[in-house]
Amino acid sequence: MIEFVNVHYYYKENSSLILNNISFTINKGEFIGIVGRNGSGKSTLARMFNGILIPSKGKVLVDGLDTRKAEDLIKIRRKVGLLLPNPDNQIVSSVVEEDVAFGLENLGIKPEEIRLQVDEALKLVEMEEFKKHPPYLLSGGQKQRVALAGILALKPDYLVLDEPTSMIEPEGRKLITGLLKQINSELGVALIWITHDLEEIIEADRILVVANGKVKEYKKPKELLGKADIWKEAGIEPLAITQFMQNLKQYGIDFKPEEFTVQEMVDFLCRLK
Amino acid sequence: MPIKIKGVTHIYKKGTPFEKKALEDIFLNIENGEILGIMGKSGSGKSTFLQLLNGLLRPCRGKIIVDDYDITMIPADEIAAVRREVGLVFQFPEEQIFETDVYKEIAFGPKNLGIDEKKTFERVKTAMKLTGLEYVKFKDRRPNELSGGEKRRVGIADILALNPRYLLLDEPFAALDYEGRRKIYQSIKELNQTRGTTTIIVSHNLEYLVPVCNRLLILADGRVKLDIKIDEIALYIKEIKNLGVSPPLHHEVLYYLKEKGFNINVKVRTREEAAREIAKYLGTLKDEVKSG
Amino acid sequence: MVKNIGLGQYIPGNSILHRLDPRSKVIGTVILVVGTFTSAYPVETGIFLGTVLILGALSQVGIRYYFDSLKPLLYLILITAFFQVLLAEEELGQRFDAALNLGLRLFIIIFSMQVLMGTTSPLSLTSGMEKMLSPLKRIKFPVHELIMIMTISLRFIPLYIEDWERIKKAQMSRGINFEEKSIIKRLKNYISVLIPLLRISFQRAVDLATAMESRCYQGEGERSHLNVLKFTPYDFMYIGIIGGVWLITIWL
Repeated sequence: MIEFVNVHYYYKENSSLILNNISFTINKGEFIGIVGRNGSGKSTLARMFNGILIPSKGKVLVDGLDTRKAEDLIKIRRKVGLLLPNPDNQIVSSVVEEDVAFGLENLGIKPEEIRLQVDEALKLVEMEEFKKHPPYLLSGGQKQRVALAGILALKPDYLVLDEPTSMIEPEGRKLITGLLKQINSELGVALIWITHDLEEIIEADRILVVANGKVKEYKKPKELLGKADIWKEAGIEPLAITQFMQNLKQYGIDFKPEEFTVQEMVDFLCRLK
Repeated sequence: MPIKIKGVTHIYKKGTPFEKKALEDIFLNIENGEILGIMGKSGSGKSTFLQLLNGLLRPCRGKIIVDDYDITMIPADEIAAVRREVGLVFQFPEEQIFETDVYKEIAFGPKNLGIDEKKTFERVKTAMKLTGLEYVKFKDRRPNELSGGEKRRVGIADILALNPRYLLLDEPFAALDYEGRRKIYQSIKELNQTRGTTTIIVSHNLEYLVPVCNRLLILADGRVKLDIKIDEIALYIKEIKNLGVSPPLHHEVLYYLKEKGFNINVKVRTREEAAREIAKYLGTLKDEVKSG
Repeated sequence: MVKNIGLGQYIPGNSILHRLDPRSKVIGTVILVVGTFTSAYPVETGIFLGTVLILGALSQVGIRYYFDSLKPLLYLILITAFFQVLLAEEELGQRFDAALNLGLRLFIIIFSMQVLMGTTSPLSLTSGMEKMLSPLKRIKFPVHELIMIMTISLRFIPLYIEDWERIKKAQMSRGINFEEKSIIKRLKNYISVLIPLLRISFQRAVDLATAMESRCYQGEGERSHLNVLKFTPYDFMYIGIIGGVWLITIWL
């Protein structure tokens, strides 16, 4: 369990608050979406889960360990992985497999053990055939999968994803999105997923909307699709289907259920004929 | 004057083992005032296409005629004039910001051309207005005091201050939130309406192009695979999908309805227009809306 | 992407030399360099020439690689030799001889380094260096930090080349001319590339530090390695043979 307890964050004493008295908890295995406008403090929030940033006031507990205690940071960081938007800035080594090994090497783990974990992590992100490649010959999506493997090799319980697909070409995106959801459903790793793309987190258990330094919590985004004001506050574009349903409503075609696929919508309209 | 592209082929690292064909035998006319959207997977030749149009790259074969001049024949020391006429905004243009405040940054381009203070001032003001950056509020801001979306618009204003007659935008919506995207739509539309600027936008998301473009091009393997008006999308759903592009949802719905026997006009652009056509067919269109 | 095969580029392969431990290759190269410098001309230098040519053949990276990457240095050798001919005080015949003497030595030294760089990946070279320098840790020399800096530099150099080219193009489309005739103006124009490049580098550095810390990097303390360096009989043989050649030239 990760607990944020009355967390405040500011750059300087008396300067404006980036985060203003935030409290929430995240359980093991959960899938949490975090949304908010550019500059709302989402990235600051992301860096507090594993003690890269420490609250100015209040505390963050990871399975009971306090991120303010320097001696617990390594334990915390083994539990909480952090993936950044730009893969190029996260890859340390000039060979894929050596980069994936970086975290394990830092912990002083035996070479045979590292080999096993590295191979397993690369397999998980479907990059094993590239293990001897230099990263700069890979596509953006492939590089991001290498960065992900480097985090998964440490076997984290929680994965904080800071806009993991925003710098990736569209072909690479779907694969990463799919992999992440699989890691959540099959390995039980909790996802804390920051994004501007509602589609990515539509299946989340809960979402947190960050605005003006505060966090609002909502259950099941799938059931909130029609609530335009929530998405507006989060600076997020509603799904195309939600917007289209609103256009149709304007012209007198009313929908009872809020959730729809394209086919269901077509069938529904056919019945009206 | 339109842009005419005649049989353009571009090959990177020609004559080496790393040779890579980016564009092959492209024929295309781009009419004045058009807003053309270009889609294609990474490596389909989109970015190459833009760089050829403003003379940053020279094609291996073929002609590119802008304002009646074949820009492929212009000598290297005069090509800068072409780049002013055909402004190219790169992906993440905020990267190029290097001056200490917004005014200086946008003024750099015109000053560098030897334009005097007064005219430069006018240009900066107009460029800021066009990109939705309020002059008094933003002129003295330092780059690090701007949000991501604002920086992006400063990057675009940098190019607009050169008064280009053609504007090329490479992935202008990448990594922006909804609000940021909408502001850029407004800029493109206003520029097109007030100056008649011909605009070419490269994006990976067709939903992003539909609100502003009136023509769509899909590139694949260095060739033009589809060239249609934006309101014809619903007629080409199959082709679009086969090219690996997801069509906008409302066009897809129209396409399926037509297939199921709806005798309906599918030549529409926006969601709203699509909804209206469906309502018209189903007879739910209210009177007050009908007249408005 | 780095386009041309530059000086000292690694060429992946599977030759005997590729499979050797980087440490033995470094030691071998040091012996060749020192030996060549101290060798007597022409017999002993000739022996070294023969040795590096054989190594060049064993490396299986192709004559073309040596030729291409030696080309710029060839000028250096020729100029040095030319001045030797021009400025020395001996008779002409002797001067040519002296020039050849110097040119040959330079050639051997550069060639032996080419063999090392061509057959050893930068990364295994750095981990080899780390092992060889590790005794220096006892006198508080920051070996680990130095090696980490080298590793990261190797990773980021191709990125900076890309950044440089991309920003330069973006500024060119803003009308900035990098082929200005006046040097001062040209330098001034390059500032428009340098400042964004610095900002990007700073952002990269901040992100990299975050990513490294998130993966439990502590700066100090023992790190382990995925690929462990191991001396094989071939390594001893290699050092033995090169050392032997050296001893023979000394004995001669």
